[in-house]
Amino acid sequence: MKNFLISLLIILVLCVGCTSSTIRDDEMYTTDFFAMDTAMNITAYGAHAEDAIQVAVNEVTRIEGLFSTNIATSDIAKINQNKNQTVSEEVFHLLETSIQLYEETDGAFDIAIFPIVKAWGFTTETHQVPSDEILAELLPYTKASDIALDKETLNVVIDEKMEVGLGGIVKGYTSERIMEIFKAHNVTSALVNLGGNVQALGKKPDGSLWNIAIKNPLDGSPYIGFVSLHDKAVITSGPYERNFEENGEIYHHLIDPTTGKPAENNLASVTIIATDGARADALTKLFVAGLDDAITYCNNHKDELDAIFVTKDKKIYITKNLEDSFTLQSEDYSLEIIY
Amino acid sequence: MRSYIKNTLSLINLKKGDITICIALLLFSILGLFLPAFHAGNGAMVVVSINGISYTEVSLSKDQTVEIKGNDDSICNIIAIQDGQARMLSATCLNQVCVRQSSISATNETIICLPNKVIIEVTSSIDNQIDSVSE
Repeated sequence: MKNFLISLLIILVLCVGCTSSTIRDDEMYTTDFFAMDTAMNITAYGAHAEDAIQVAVNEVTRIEGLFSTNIATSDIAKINQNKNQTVSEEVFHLLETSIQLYEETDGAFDIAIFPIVKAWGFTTETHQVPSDEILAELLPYTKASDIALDKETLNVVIDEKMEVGLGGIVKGYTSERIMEIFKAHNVTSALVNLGGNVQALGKKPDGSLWNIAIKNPLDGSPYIGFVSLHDKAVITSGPYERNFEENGEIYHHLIDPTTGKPAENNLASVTIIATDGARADALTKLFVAGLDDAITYCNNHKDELDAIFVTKDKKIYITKNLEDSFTLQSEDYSLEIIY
Repeated sequence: MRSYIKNTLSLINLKKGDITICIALLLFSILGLFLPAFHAGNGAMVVVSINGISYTEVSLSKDQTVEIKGNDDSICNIIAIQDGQARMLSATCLNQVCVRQSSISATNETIICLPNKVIIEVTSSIDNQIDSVSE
């Protein structure tokens, strides 16, 4: 009897010993690294997080190898080099999606604007203001709808003067892929920030929502406010992200495909919130369409996304769904609910 | 009651020493349950900026090194996070003042590398509520 009791006690101690060396559900693993020309952070929680994060980091490298215009062996670089190129199914599919979005946004999101972005020096950080002549020469060849796709052969054909760049959608696509990897690894709580593109998986380990701040695109407080959510991508575009000054003028990277010049309108930033990271990323380029057209698009797609528009005159327009989840933090701004 | 316990104990032939061992084992097991809780949780962050522009934010609760790259993409500073403290592990600057600075862990403490324009500052994630920034 005594031996039995002592044995029982020893077993109990061993069991607890095992428990205390098990990783808790709220154990955080995080990594910061550089890829796609920007700083990235991947954070995940729980027993499977560490492995899942490593797989995710490898995936980022893999995707960059497929899509980067700077890597000569990437499918996209080959398209730009050869003008007639067979690509992987994955690249083909994102090209298809991109062309679809070009049509849907009336050209606001345009992967074929790349030669003009290059002309402004945004791809090499050697900024310059291209002449109107150069822009006039390039503009006719910047329509994504002119990209010829053959679904049977996965072949892509573009005009001699065309080039494509998927920088406006690939980070959103990547964050989506990371979410899939996490799910496959039984990670239920995670947050990634890929150069400012945020995507969240599940809720925080304690069951509360993620609070994602929106950067203030104008001077003043760091954020205009934050959104509380789960399982969504939150992606923002604004002139403040990439711009240069020349002769007293500020030129930014969000090119209006109708003029070949930085879009000029009342918008300071556009944020799209959706489960589809790639679409959210691409649709922030509605910035170039201006507030009214951007609102019209979002209104027509209100089941798939929510939006936050910040204007230069310090107004914040949010879609109705966000009314309860958006917390205004800056006193300088007034809030308006759209549709 | 006491006699009942005494009788039961004598039945299973439990001596005083045995009881001491049992209690000690029980205490250790219970303590073991609480040990993981003593690790640093989430909360304190180190914010890194170059030339006044926000570069990255890392948690103080996970031991790690963070490489900071300048405009030319080469590493100019490396930060080490260990046991909830941050310090400048190495820097390309000539005076190495930042490397000699003692580690920081309290909110608003900073280490500055003036030549490289790198600032690391401890914050409680800027705003305690914010998990990430969309920008």
